[in-house]
Amino acid sequence: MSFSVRFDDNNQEIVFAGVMRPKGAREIAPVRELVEQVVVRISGTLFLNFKKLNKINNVAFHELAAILTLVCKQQPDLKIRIIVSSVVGWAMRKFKVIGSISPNIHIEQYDNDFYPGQGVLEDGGFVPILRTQTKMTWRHERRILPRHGLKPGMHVADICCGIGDFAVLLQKEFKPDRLVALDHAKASLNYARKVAEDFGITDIEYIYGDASALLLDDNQFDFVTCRHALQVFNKPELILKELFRICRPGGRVYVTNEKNSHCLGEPRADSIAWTYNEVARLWGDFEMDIELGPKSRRLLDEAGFDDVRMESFMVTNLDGDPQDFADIIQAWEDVYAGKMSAERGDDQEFVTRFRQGFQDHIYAALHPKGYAGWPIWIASARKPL
Amino acid sequence: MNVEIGGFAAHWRHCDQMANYLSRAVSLERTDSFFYSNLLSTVLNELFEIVFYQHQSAGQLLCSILRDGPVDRIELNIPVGKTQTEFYQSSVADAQSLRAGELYTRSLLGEAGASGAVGLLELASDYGAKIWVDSLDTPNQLRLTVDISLEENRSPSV
Repeated sequence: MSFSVRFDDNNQEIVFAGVMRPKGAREIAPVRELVEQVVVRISGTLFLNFKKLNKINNVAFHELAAILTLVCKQQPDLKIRIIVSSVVGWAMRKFKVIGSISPNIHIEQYDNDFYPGQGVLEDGGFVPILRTQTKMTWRHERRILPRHGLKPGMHVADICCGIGDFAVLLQKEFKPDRLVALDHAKASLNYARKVAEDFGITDIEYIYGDASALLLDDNQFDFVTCRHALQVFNKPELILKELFRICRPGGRVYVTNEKNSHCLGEPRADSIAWTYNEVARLWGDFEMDIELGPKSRRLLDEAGFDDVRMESFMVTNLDGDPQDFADIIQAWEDVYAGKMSAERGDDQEFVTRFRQGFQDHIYAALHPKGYAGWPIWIASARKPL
Repeated sequence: MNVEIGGFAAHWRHCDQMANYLSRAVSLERTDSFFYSNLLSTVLNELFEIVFYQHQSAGQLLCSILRDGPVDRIELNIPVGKTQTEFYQSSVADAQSLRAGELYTRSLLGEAGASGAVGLLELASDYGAKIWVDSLDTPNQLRLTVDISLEENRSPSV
């Protein structure tokens, strides 16, 4: 049994993690001690965060219920909010019993609210974009990945796998011994499983999970990928901390991100540049950072990695069919100048100019003498031995 | 999995270790291997914790996991004496009664320690498990069977 419990003063939150399967209540005495210390010096609401508690037995649960019963008697004005993860199947059904102790205890299931902008993207029909994007980026990444340490026979995790098409390509090209693909969007995972089934691939473990609170064990993967995802989260450092944890010492974490304001095209360069600068501002208003790409080096360094390797490549209209490039841009316009712009409350004049830049980018992509580009930054780093 | 009951009951951590080992071993081809193995480990651990206290001192503990469509069947062949046989029969009767949910809540929230059979009550009331015991031809052996659908048991929303 290995568990941790700590109090986060900032959030007035007690965070539980690990496995609590004691033989007797005495083995989890630190929980009772901490709760007793905390409740006498706080007021308002106490948050109990069980998102990373992987397993609990009824011995521990009985003790937890006894502690909370006591707290409710001693501190009748204190509200208690229990946060459980939808990733852990037993959690909600188990904790609902605790809700019957007192009306002051409220139980909530953690979900997408933690990622303010992502709901907009997922609702905005990003699946077709992702599929085409992967098709175009894979042409580059299949050559780039070995330079960042990926070899056949590795244990690989693709965190924030989205619709899982990258994992399928990786499985076919690099033949990992184990491949886990994880995402927190069930619709994407269902799609991913369907894609794998269509390709007759049965060796990918598709897992529902939260990238900022992974329940995967420490130090188990040789290579961890996280593509186009840090830029979608408002707290990328939380995800990097988890990528670091699950990577084995000496293994590498590989991330890709964008700097959308550097998208370019000729002809109509000015209109295109204006629109993508506005895309960057729009994402910022949704607490996401589409400019994150070049910041990857700093983020990896601050997360504790060493041997950072960085490079960038440009997806262009000359990579295969220009229509594929145009389809990506059209999908961006539909989401950014459509739902996101409307949600932000942009006026018609802005939206018209905003859309024009995307259309000019498409024009450049399809023009027989035109050039259109979308730059991607790749960064990988080693977990120190 | 087949183990000597004495070896199994030598350390409490064996419940956790065997539950994790078995759940991982049978989860790989499931739709969501992590979600399923985590749930199965929870179920197996509660069963092993019951067996840890309720067994005869000698004999074999056999755990089998079978699958039939959405239903997983867990069979535990447990070495028992008269006292343990009565415990399992009575606990299973409670777990299959209409009062299972009430007994489960009372056991978890009561001032006394959780009932020795709280795991069975939980499986019946929270997971809708069907549980029964059979006597075996082998003397002093009892089979505890749990039929449960874990892949359908996605965590309900609030």
